[in-house]
Amino acid sequence: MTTLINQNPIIYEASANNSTREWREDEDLEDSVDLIDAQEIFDLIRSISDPEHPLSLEQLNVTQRDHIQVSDENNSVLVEFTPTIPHCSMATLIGLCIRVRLLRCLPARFKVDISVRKGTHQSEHAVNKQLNDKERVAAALENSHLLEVVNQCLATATSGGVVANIVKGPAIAN
Amino acid sequence: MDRLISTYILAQTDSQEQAEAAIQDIVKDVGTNPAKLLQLVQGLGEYLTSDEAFVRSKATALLSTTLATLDQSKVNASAVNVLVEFYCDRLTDQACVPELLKGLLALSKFDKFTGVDCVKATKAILSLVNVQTYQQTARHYVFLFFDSAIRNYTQSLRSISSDFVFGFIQCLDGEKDPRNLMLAFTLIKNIIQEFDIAQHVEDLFEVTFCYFPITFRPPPDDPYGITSEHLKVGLRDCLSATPYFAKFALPLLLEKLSSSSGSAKKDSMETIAACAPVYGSSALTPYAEELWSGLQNEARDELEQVALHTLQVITTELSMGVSMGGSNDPVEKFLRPIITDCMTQLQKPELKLAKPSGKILKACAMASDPACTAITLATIPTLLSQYNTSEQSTRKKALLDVLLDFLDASRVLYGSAGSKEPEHDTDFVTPLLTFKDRFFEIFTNALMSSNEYNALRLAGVKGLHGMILLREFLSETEISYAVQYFVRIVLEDPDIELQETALNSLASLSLIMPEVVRNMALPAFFEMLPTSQNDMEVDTVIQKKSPEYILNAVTKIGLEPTLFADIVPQILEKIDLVSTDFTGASSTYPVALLTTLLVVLRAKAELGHTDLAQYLDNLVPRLLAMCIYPTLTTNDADHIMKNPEILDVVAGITRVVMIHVDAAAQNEFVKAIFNIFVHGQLSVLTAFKENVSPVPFQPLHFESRISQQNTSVLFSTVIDGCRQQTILPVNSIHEFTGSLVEVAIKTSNITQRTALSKAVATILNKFNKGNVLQAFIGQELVPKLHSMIHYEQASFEARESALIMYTWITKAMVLSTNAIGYDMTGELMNIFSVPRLGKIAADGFNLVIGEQRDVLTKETFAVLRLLYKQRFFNYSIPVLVRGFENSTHEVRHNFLIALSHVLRNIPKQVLLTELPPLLPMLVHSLSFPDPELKSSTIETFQIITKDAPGLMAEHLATLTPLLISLTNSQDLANTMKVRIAALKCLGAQPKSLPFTALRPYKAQVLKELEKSLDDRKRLVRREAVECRSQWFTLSGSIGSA
Repeated sequence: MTTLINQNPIIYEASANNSTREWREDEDLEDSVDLIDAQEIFDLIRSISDPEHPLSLEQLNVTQRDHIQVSDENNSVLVEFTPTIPHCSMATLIGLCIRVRLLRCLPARFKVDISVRKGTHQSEHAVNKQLNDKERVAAALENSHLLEVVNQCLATATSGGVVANIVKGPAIAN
Repeated sequence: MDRLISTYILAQTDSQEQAEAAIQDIVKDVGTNPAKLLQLVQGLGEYLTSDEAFVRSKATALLSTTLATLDQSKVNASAVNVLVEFYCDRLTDQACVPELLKGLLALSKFDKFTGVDCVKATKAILSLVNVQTYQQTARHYVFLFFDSAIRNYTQSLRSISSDFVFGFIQCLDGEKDPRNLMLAFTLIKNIIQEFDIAQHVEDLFEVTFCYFPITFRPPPDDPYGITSEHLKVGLRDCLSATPYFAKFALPLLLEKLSSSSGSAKKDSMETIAACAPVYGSSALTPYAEELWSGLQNEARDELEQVALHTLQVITTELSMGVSMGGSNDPVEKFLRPIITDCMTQLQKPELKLAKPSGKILKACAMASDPACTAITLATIPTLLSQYNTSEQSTRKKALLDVLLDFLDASRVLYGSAGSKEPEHDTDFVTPLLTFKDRFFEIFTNALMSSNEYNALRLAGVKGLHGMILLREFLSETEISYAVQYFVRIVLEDPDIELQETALNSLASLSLIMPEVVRNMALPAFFEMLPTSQNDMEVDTVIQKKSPEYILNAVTKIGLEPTLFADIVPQILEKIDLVSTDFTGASSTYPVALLTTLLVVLRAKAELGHTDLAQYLDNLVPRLLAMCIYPTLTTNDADHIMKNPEILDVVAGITRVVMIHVDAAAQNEFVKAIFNIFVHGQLSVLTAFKENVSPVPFQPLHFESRISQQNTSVLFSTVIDGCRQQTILPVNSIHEFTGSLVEVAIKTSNITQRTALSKAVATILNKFNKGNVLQAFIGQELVPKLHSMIHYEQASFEARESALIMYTWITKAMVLSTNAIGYDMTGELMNIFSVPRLGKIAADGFNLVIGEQRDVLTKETFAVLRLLYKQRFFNYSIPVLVRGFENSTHEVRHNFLIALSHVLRNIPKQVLLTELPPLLPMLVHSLSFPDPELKSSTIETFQIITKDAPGLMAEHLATLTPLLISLTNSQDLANTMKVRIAALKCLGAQPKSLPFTALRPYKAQVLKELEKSLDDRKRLVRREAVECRSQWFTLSGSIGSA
């Protein structure tokens, strides 16, 4: 058995596959515009798998909705994540997974910044620099082995699925 | 005979057929007349002694085949004896051995074959035949012979027991063929059971265990169907057949446990679990420590379930050992290191490795009373004190999870509350009883601590629930406290997950302890329901649960018969209150009240409850009265019970109750209903509401009050609910039906028109037994409707009404595969070209072939002939295709709509076989600016993608650009539904189609769909993300899988 960097991480409750978004009527309306918000970004990245454990980033508390800032009008997104331990060598890889996921799932007009949350990693500056350097990210993805690892972590990622159910009274089955 | 023999013997390999024919003839000849056997043997004489091995073998084969096929009852004992003698002697002739074995096998099945013969043959085989030097079939005969011998002559074989066992071991040594092994494993097991193996335990073990672990993988298209699982089970049965194997097997199994192959590990654990009960406590004890250290890693890994089961079995077995008490007790000795290890992990219970430790303790505790007691006493006090000193919520929650595991284990071991059969020894009580008060306190506190980590509170709910479920654990007072806590959470807590868990607990308790739920839960729930208009308004100000929410909860806990009987009057009372006191209230609340009854009734019907019928006598008439009387007042004022939505729910209740009573009760009920609705006699209802009114009740007239006309849905529901043998109380069914048709066409009230159309369709479908109505339908009704539809001077409404009635009748006929139905379908297509009516006729296809939820269903006894859908499909598709080809552009649209309705409703297998010629038409559909048609067609394409990928691959060049263009949100015809469907369809491709087919489109799809990532609708964006993820991962390796 290979040794894991963090053998025994803390597990948090995750809201399964359900988005915690509350259903609003205008989501079903043809013409209203749904802006891209923090919840939507969170739903995109929460179910990414950790490279080390068969657990999601949400379960490990690596990503949290409150640590995402979005402005649809200004086309900007800032995602901050928290490595499970300060010396986690996987931090860059996790960041890369988030980067690739958003690269694939967000319209190109957005400028996406990804960084380690302040004070949660010993070499946070270096990690941030790598993650936000376009050329280094592109170079990393040229590496087919690395790309495969990233794809594996993203394989579990769903787009946030079901909207939280709102009880509207006794429902008639079928 | 001699001629046949020589033909057979002399036949060259190239005239095999001739030989076959000869052998057939001989076998037939001797088979019918065994006296000729002698003749055969004599005839074969010279060949059997021939110098050429080939000839001898061939001759033997002929004799053996004959023996295997002839009617053995006519062969006498001395003949059998001689034959056995002869065969045994010949076994020295190696060239003939396979054929000889076949003959011996045949002989062993003869009635006259004796134990002495058996011993003789067995000895001969064991001493003269070196089994493993022969081919598979010959070896197979040997094993089959032993099988037959052991089955029938055990007693005789025991006389040579030791030799037999030893000889068998030699025969088996080196066997590799899976077919022979399957047989051999059964033999080993039988030998172990029937013979004294004491002398040969080690040899027998070695010859058996050498196959462990099974690594066999069946070849593709294996004709014998032997899987590695079969072999594993076979071998496992041998290893677990005798405790003598214990000392040899355990060290080796433990060794395999540390193997690197997952399948070997799994097999080892399963084998240990199977062997443990046989080997017994004393054999296991020396290995206790090693077993634990071998299993503990697995219990924290993928094979968790298997490992836990194995641990449990071992613990159970060790508990059976004679208990010396104190530290030498085998089970305690086994458990000590387990407890220590697990408790070490549990010191930090919120970490990843802690959870499996809880499961391990649970598995062991579940094993036996001594184990449970030992583990409980050793761990619970520590866990409890740990809980007390913990500040962190995650840690507390993890600790509660461990306690929940203990509750589970206890329930399995000591029984659950409310279970009918006492399958558990009632002498034992769970050791958790000592800690009951602490548990109750801890779980209650966890649940009550508002502003806490939700998962912790959730564990609190689960804990209390788990405690209630334990047999003879909580006192009645404690249970009622717990139920009150649950009620409070359901009614007051804002968190959805907590509400649901608490509600589910109440629901499960309602079935085993209805009393408590009735006393504690129901009153609290009903108290929260508004009793006046004022209540409704106040509710929105303070954050109380909505009445809809509370009623939804009632539907979950009100299924148990006594509880439902309690709910019905309370709901009715509320409705009475609403309909008299609530002025100008919306219908939402009363609809929810009635829907509650409907939902519970349906759930009860699904569960097969038998208390439904009684509600036909009180609940249904009372509801009818509540709906009918308000339509009789002089001023016909607004009234809640006149609301069409309410009428629909009442119809639903009537339907579900009525279909669960027998024909006799239905006859009574239908008679009463006809009195009310046809004759306007309300006397049956006066028992429920005294109200003599001046206005007559005429719901089935086209000139009566609208409010009365609307109640005709109740009437048509009753017709729909009739059994086929129920009698409609009218003089002439066709006159009555004709009058309904008349009203349906004259009325301007759409509700009434639909209701009556349904009633007519049901009558014609159900009461046309023996074609009694055939003439009426074919010669009177259909021609009349036909001329009304085409009568251009008539008003559009009248023509539309006639068309709708016509469509419903078509449905009734198609369901019963009545020939008239197909003629009518053809006629519907002729209407496609009629302006305005064409679209209605095309949409009518959905009605004709689509399943309706509330009318003409199987459960309401409609006549649904087998394969009616296929027959409709076979009839209509060619006609639709022809019609499409011969029509103008606008009319084509209607044909495509009809086609899409048919395709959507046809079973998938039929759809896939008939599709290829229809594809051009479907592609055509995508270019019409009709969103419904588009999305329905895309859905069909999605089915094709999944189930007929080959067909889809052929059309990618046309379809891919088309589907991409349908995701464009700028085009108004591409509604959200269309865009989502198109993205889903594209997203389904990488999963189903081969990589090579899709590769040319990968770049294009990914590029084009970038636009959809910026769609204004979130639901579309979500689908675009999913779709692109599928295409991103598309590569040679994944795509082809």
